[in-house]
Amino acid sequence: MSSCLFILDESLEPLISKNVKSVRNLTGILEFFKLNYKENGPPVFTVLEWHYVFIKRDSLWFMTAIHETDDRITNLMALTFYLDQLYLLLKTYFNRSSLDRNIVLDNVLLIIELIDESMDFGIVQLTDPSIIKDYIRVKVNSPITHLTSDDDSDTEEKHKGLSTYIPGKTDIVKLWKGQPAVTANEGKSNEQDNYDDDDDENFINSYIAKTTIMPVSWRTKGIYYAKNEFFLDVIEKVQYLMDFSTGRIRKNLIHGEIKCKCYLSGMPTLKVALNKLIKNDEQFISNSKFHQCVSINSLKREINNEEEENTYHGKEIEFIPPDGEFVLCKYELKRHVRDVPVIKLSNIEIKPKLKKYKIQIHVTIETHFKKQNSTSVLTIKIPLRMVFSQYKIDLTKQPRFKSDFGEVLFNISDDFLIWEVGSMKGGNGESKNNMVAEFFIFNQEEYDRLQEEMKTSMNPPPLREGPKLEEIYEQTHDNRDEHDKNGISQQLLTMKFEVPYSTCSGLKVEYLKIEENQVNYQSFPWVRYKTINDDEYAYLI
Amino acid sequence: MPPLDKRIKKFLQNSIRVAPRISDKGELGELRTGLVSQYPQTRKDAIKKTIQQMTLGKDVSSLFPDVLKNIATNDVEQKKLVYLYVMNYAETHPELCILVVNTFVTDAQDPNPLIRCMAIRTMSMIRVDKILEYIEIPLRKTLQDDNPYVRKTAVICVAKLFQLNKELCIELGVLEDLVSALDDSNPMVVANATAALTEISCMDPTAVSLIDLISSHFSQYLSVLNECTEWARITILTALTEYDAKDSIEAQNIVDRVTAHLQHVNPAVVLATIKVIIKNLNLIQPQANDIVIMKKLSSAMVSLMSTPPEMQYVALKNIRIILEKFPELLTKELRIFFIKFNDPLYVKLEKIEILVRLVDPSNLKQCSLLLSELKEYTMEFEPEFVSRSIIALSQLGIKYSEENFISKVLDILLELAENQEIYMDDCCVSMCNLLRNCPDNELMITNVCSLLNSWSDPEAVLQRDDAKCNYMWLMGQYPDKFPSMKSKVAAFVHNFSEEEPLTQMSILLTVVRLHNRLEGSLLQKILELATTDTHEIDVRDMAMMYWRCLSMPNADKLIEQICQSMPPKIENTLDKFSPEVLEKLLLELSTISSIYFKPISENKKQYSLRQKVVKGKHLDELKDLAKSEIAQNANEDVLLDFDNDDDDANNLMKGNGSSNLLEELDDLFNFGSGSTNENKEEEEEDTSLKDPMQNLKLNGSGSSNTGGEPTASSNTQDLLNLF
Repeated sequence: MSSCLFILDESLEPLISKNVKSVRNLTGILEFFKLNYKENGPPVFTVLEWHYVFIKRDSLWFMTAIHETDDRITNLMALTFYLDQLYLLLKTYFNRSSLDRNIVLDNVLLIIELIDESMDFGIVQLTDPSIIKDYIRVKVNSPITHLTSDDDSDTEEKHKGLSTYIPGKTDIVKLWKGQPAVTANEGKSNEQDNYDDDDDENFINSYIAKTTIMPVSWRTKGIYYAKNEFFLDVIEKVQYLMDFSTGRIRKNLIHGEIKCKCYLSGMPTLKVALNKLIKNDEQFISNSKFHQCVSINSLKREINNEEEENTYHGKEIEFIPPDGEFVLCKYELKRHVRDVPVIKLSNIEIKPKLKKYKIQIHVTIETHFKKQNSTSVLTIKIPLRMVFSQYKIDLTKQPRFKSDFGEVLFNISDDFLIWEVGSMKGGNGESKNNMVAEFFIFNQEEYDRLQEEMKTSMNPPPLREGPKLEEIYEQTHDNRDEHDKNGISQQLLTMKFEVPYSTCSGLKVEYLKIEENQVNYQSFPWVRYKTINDDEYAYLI
Repeated sequence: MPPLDKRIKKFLQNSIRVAPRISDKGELGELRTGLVSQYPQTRKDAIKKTIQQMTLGKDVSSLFPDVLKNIATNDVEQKKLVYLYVMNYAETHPELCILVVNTFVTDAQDPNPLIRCMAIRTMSMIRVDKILEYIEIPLRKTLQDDNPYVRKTAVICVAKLFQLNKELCIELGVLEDLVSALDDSNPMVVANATAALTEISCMDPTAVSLIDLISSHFSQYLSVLNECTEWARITILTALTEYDAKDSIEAQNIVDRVTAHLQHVNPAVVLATIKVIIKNLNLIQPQANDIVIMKKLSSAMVSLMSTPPEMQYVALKNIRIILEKFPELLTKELRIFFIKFNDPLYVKLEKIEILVRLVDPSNLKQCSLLLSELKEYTMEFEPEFVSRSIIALSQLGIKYSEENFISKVLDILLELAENQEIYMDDCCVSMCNLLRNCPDNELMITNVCSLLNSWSDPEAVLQRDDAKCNYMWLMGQYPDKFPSMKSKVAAFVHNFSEEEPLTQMSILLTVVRLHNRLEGSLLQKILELATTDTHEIDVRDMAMMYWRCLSMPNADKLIEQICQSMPPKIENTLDKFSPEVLEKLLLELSTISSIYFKPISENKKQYSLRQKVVKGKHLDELKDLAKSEIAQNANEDVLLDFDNDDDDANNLMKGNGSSNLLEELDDLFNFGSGSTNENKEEEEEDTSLKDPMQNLKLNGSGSSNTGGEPTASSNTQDLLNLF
């Protein structure tokens, strides 16, 4: 399929170039890419006899070139997906939330090996990090400072998700490696040393050779954990877009994901029963996608179910899980347009009080989920550019904010308010929260009067306390381009929230069975639910 | 655990590192001392550094002999590195390669399967004759290896060898081994063998007959499909698309077997499955379960929309092709394709294409929903996106084709044209299209014309050729609605020679149509200009013809007839593929052609072996080097090549798009051709000359964007964007 592969930095200079099909003149191919690359252009274009396919991730470009003679056998979708998977693979390897130029340059050899292993002669072989990790164990060369800071944020993020029930997630990883728990960093180097000791003759263990050719190609044999745990997270992202002025709901969708973390020994078989499957929810069945480990046969029965409604088997998803983290299932559900959103904006009003030279912005939100739950994160972003362009706001007088709950922040450079509500109780609309922001409108008369007084009086101008907002405003808005003013994103009130222990769609795991016939150990399954916002959860005002 | 003393010894051996000595020979010298050091760890470090230099693009080929000394080692990591180096630089030292051959051959028999793999993999990548001469035994051995992992690597090596040296590959007869690998018990080997065969048949279709092989192994494919990795599944599914089912039962069987894969996480698997199903769906008699399959297809396509944008782009392009075949498929999923404000531009543009296509024209509620959505899009700030939305608005109006609805669309456009200057071109074209859909609605015509009339100098307001052309046409059509028509026409005539061909043509036609209302001198002037002052052969011919008509005895009557002819009502402004093209594209889903909507042409130039095995410094090599130099320094070369390609594109378009374009022909110059038909008796020689001319013209004007009157065929547009 592809003839060569590049990883490029921001200025399109090659960091990695891998000649997959030993073609000539790699530099020439790259030159043409540079000459013809367009910002915002589609991710596929053709110059002369070369097709270029690329994806941009973080600040890097992953690009591959295909010669036109290969047109017939090129699978574009597979190629783009491969590039994406390669990016994810590198990310897992480096244990980072994003990649940059330096980490790539520091690990050139490792990356080349990874590419080599994942793709042979343009034919993709495998991209599963947990398998490749067994094979390629070159030490990640990453500056310590970076690593620690990164690790911190990373684990912190994970802790947010998991802290409720795992005291230290890293412990588990360590147990697996047969190492006493230490800090993340030490653990890593220990692992490497340990490794060198173990392997006397061959550096590589050859699991990969066995695993990739097995029917269960995603799990190696002989995995052992002292404590056997399985975590299952149901995360639903709600996408919602409503035109507040007309009351029209433009989007109301749920993007669900079942994420798993598996720390189980041996070859366990898991059975997960979902209430949606039991109830034969047609929409769920037809709009869900499963990880390759889910046995097609168990799915098939489900599908048959749909057709012959009298047979009652196959209500559960049966699978042998891969080791570590994976996404078991993804599903898309449409909600009825009239279904209430999780967090509803019940009122937003811009009340100019021209007589008092004030303008007030009232915002009221209400919750629509189970009473016993509450949000763990709730942040509302209210755009102000409309207000600022309509009225002449006098920032010499401090704006005032008042809210029932949480605090309000004013971002002066990009003109918006952030209302951090934090935790808010659930309910059916009876739990409400208000916020009022008050700005002063420029008062010409008063200004003139004050100027006049200043001229006549001998007193120095009165002292002003607090930051001079108007000056900051001037500075930040000085060289702003006109064009971004019209952007629709300036009229969007967006929300960020997280509601633990509940799913918007009502999806529930009825039971989770872990069976391992050979070892027969005690295992701990954990199930959690969470509803969060999609990138697009917004009200157009 | 080995005994303690052994461990200590090993530890010491591995941990002694000698700091690189700074020598006056420079960096290369340093590396060289490192490479020949007596301490293994130091040598390894030096190799690593060498490779690092290599990947940065520095020439470290002079270290070749020194690096080679390190190939005989038990350390797999070091071996890998040396192999990597050898792969890169073997061609620079072909004569030294003989030294490595031995290692390769021994490594190919190593007890460790991974080393066997590595040896054969590297060996088959080296473009040096001497090495290839020795490849036979190791390759054969690994092809028959006990370990499937080695076999799956070896089958790909056959394809590599084929690329490097076709004759040798055929002579060795490894192709037969490859074919027999299709019967392997391991699914991965089967998949890789299929992939390798596909590569080979792509390089030289005569070497293997892929289709026959696929049909004979068809049942194997179905049985291994569920047992292999996601990537292997893609290969196998792709192979299945090549297979023609014998009858409807078999087709049904295939569809049943693959359907479950529509729910795979990997979008490439999903798309490949869709491809297989669509191919076989033709053969199955329409049945009740048709609806079930359609439902599954549609939810699979919807699931493709929750991927990263690059994949969405590919998916959208493919969905567009599929929609052409099954227009009803996604009707219920309209909302999924609504634009997210953080979508990248290329996804937004594709989504609009889809939106107008999938809306159900009989469903008023849905159409109004889309209308208000599109209206929102016109408020966005990316110009390209907004102008596409404007065109989409008119397409939607014409698709729904009901006067009240169209007048709503028109109101939006009018408002836009009044407020937003940069979108006047698109508004003008869109409004004219809408008027052509309902030519009898007085109110709409008045509204549009009064707005257009209010522009003081339209030839400066409008930028694009097609917009101007439309403007002129409208003026010619409804001259009464333009109070300041005379001055406007005069201004256009004044600028005649600066305009582009479509506008020139349109000016000519309008002046002829209105010659009674205009001053006679203007007519004279335009005819003169059009015959003498333009390079467009079609404009000139058209002018000639009119001139003759006018100089005939019954000129007035003739012109009258010309004036009365109306262009036909536009029914559809969405471009369609011709059936043949569509069928081809459906078989080529997910390939490059699905992006450009350009099926792979049959008489494609044969695969010229790009690879030449190096014996010494080759002349080709030097040529290539020179070429890359040129590419870097200047792109004159590029320009030249571009020209060639442009020609190709034009030729192609004539072939592919002609059915599409021919339809437009009638529309485009309808009043012109209407007149020619009427004049046929009197003007026989003239018309017979003219018709082919027009044909020609269309193909020509296709490339300058036919946007003119009706369809801006994005089929051709896409082709154009390509080059």
